[in-house]
Amino acid sequence: MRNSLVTMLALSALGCGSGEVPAAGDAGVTERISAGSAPAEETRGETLEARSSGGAFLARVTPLVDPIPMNEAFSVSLTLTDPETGTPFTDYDEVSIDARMPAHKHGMLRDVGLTPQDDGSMRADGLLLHMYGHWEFHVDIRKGARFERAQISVRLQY
Amino acid sequence: MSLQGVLGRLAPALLAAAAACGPAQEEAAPPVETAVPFSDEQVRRIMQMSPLPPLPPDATNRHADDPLAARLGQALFFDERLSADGSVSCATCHDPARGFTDGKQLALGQQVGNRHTPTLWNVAHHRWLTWDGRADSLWMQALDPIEDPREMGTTRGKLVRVIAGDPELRGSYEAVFGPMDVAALRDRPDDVRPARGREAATGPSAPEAVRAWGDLGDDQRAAIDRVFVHAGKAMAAYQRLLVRGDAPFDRFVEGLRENDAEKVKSLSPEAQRGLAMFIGKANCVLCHSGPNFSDGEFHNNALPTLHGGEARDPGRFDGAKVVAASPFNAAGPHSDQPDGPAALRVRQLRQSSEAWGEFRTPSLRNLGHRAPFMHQGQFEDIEAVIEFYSELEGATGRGHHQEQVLVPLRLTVGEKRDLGAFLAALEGEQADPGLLAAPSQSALGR
Repeated sequence: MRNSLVTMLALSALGCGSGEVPAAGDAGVTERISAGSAPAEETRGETLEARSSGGAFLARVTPLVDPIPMNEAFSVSLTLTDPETGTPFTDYDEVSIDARMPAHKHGMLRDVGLTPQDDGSMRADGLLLHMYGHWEFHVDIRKGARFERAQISVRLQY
Repeated sequence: MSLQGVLGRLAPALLAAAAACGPAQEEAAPPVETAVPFSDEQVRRIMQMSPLPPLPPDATNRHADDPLAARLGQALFFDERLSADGSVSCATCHDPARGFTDGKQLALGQQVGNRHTPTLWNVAHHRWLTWDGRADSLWMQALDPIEDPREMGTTRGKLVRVIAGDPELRGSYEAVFGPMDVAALRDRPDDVRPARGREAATGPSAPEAVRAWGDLGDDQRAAIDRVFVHAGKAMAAYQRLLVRGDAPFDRFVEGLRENDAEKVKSLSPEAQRGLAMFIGKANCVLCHSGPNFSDGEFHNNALPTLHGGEARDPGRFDGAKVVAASPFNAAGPHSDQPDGPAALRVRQLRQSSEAWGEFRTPSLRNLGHRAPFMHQGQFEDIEAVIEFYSELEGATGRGHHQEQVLVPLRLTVGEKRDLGAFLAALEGEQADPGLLAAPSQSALGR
């Protein structure tokens, strides 16, 4: 669809555990044309992936709608795997997903829960990107006192 | 404009021509001229700002689109008996003649409030209600002012008594919601309500109406709450009718879509330049996005305060807590869809300090008669609003929770005038006059 572009930049993870200063990593860039109007139902978007700050896991986020709609709730599928073996990564106490807008220093202000699925993935409902611009999905895990984040950038354009 | 943009703009016209005249018999007309040479991206942005779509459904209120409920709600909206001293109705602050505001900086009901009265035009297009989003539906929003001592200052017990005791209102009510539970509603004091905020619910310091509420049986409290909620749902049905679209800007966008030069002229050259500013240099569209010119979310734009100095109003920080805790939210027992998308939205709400001092982005449609502007009515007219964003003079709390992208726009005199002309072109068609006053008794529709 031609009315808008959603440019998705899958960035590598930024350090966020143990008081580290985040550092930008390399980027695998995918660009595609999509619309900001009503999304097509049951159409999965492109899977975006990023390795976590400590390298413990690889996060894959797949929007369950294509394109991601502007200012409308949508869902994503999340899988975590061991980057070396490709096996499911489960060595954590908690996992969460969030979306933030760095230029504005604000985010969704929603705690979207993750629901385990039969295929080993997790599903989050109710994400909402209410402004055009650069957003970042944050996939965080906590294991004891250790935190680790995988960060994936999404640009929501007209 | 690129070839792709021209083809995109002309596609509907080409299709129409093909349907009317047969294949490839006529050459396509050149794209209609605009006063401003809008780029492809600008055209894409403009197309997303019009038309105003149909109202989003409200599944938490099964009576949301019931005309009989709307008529009852309209009657209640204008009924001054629903206030402590019988002098204030919803329409006192939401005056139809003033764009459903009151022309005052701070609302004046039974007492002076702490915020400016927001308009009700197109209010059903918002997902959160009021400046701080303390309600997640129109019907939930309609309930709180009835018992707020600064607004109507009465009690749900008295409201029920008014409806039950007025044959027309009661008949209209029962036609929509079914028979009242008369047995549970009688033999009680008029003024009963639960404690609000930090009020004591029991003991000598509790207000008399609150103590009386505590003395009621569970069935009585439930029966009163049912009527109270139904009144809110009826008023919501009425407020859903307060929609005004079809502004000169909408006709301009139609003209772009249909390649109709006459419709494009609906937006003056001055306003077209203002539109280019709105989506360009001024970037107002960042928050005032979509066809209702609001992202429906909350921002802290460092506005000057009425009292001077730093802001003290927590805004969304409080509003989020209130809506999440209320039994009247979309996930609560009075919702007609407590497991739907609206319920999920309120259940997911995060309590975060970053929401401190944030207020909901107001719609920019139908600004006429709505001055002053902002949550404290800080700016006396739209020119003052534009001037603020041009220079940020008097901005508060920079570097704290405020929007980080807020910078002085440094607009020229002409640019400010153009922007004002564009905003004036968002004034929609006139509403049905029958919606702007209390309905006649015969119009209650039984």
